[in-house]
Amino acid sequence: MLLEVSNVSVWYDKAMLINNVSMGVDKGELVSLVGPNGAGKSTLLRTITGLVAWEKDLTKRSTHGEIRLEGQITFDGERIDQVPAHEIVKRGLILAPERRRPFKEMTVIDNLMVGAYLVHDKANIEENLEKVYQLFPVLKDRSHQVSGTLSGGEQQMLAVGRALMSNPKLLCIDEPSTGLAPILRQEVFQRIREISSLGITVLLVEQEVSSVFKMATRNYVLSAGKIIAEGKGDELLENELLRKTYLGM
Amino acid sequence: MSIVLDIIISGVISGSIYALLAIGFSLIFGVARIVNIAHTAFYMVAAYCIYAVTNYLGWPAVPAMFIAVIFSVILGMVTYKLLLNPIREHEGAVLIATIAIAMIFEQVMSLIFTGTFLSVPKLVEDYFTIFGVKVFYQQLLTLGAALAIMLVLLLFLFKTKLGLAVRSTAQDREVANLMGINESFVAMITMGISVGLAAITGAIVVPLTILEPHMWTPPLIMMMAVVVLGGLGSLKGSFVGAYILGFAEAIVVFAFPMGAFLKGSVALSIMILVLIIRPEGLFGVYFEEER
Repeated sequence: MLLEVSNVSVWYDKAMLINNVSMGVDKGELVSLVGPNGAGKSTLLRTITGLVAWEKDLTKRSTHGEIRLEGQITFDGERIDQVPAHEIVKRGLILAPERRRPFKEMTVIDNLMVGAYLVHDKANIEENLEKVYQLFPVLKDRSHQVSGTLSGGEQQMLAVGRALMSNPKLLCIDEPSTGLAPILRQEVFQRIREISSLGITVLLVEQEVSSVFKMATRNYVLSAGKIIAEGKGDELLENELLRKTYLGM
Repeated sequence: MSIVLDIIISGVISGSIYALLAIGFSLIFGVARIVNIAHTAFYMVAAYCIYAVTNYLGWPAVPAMFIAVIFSVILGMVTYKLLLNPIREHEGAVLIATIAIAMIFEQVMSLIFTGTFLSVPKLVEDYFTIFGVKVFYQQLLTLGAALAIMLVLLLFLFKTKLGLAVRSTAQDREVANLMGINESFVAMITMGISVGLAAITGAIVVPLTILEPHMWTPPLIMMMAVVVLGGLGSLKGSFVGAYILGFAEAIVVFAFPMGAFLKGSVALSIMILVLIIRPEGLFGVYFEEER
C-alpha cells in the first residue's frame, strides 16, 4: 500500500471527528472518499497530510480546545504521523485543500512556484510547469494574473496545478467540484482522470457521488467519523440503505 | 516658494523613514500576526548602539552602523524565540509582551546612557542652499539609503525563494506549510528582517535626531498611524500611508504657526478618522479565519 491509515482517531476537544479509521490507497489507484457533510472527510485528509498535527501543536499554546490524535499513518513504507506537515510534501504526499485556497494576492505563476518550493532541480520545475500548463492551458494564459481574480473553476485548477508542482506520488484533492457550475465540474473530473492516467495516485474527497463512483477504482464511505462501507461504485450503489441514507441518491 | 520646498524635502524624508518603519512592522504582522509595539524600541537600540560604538570604542560611523544593525537583528531574533514564539497563538499576550519588551529596552537604555540628550555627528556636515532652503547632504543620504533599502527589500520579496515563502506564509500560513514551507522558521527570519529594517532606520536617522530613552514613542505613534491608514498587513499601504503622513506632518509644521507642536495630534487625528470612516485602511487586507 502506498498510503496506509491504521486505527486513526481524532478529537477536537471532546468531539470525536475521526473514529478509529483504517483505510489504504494502492499505487496507481484513484480512490474516493465520500459521505455526508460533517462526516470528517476533510479532517481525515488534513490528518493524513499532517495539518491536524500541526494545528494540534499550535493550539497547545493557545486557549483553544485541545486536539488529540491516535493511530498510525504510513506512506511509501514510512511512518508519517510524527512527521511535521511541511516535511510530508517532500515524501510525495500533497493536498489540494478544500475551498481551493490559492494565495489570492499572488500571481498564478507565483502560486505554482510555491507548490514547487521543495523542488530544487530547475529542469524538473520547468517540466512540471509544462505538464500543468498542458493540463490546464488557462493557467498559462493567466500566469501573471493575480489569483484572487480568477473564477472558481480556474482557482480549482490552480489549486490542483500547485499541488502537481511538488512531484506528488499521491495527490489528495478535497471537494474540487464544490461551488462550480455542472459543466465545469465535469471538466474538473476529466482533468482528475487525466492526472490519474499520468500515473499519479489520487485520493479524492467529493460530494458528487454519481460522477465520482464512475471514475474511482475504489470508494470509501465515511459517516460520523467512521468508515461504514468500502468497495467499487456499482457494488455500493446496489445497497439501497447505503444509497438512500448516506449517498442521498 | 521656500516653504513649499521645505515641505517637500521634509515630507519626502519623514515619509521614507516612516515607510521603512511601517513596512517592517507590517511584515511581521503579516507573517506571524505579531503586533510588535517594541518595533521602534529596536530602532532606538540600534541608534544607541551606534552612539556607544562611535563614542566608547572610537570606531567610525559606517562600521558602527553595521554593528548596530547586526546586534539589533540578533537581539530581535532571540527576543522572538524566547519571549514571543512560545505565546504566539495568544494574540493579546503577544501584544502585552511586546509592550513589556519596549519598556525593558527603554529602562535599560536609561540605566546605561542616563536620560541625557545625546547625539551622533553627521556623516557629512555640508549643505547646499536652493531657493533659500538649506538642504543637508545628510538628509539626502538618509533619503537615498531609505529608498535603496526599500528596493532591496522588494527584490528580496519578489525575486528570491525565501521571499516567496515569506509572501505565501503571510497570505495563508497553513497552505504555505502544506506546500513544504516551515512557517515557524519563516516567521523567525521575518522577525529578523523586520527588526533589521527598524535598526537600519535607526542607523540612518540617528545623525538627524536626538538620542534619549523615550525616542521610540513618537515614531511608534507615527508608524501606527501609517499602518492604520495604509491597512494593517499591507506593504503597499504602509508605503503610501507613510508618505501621506510624512507630507501631512510637514505641511502642519511648516505652514501653520506653532505647527511643530501639532505634529503628533495630526497623526492621531488621521488615525482616528480612518478608523471611523474606513477601518480596513487604504489597502487593508481582509483576514479570513481559516480552519
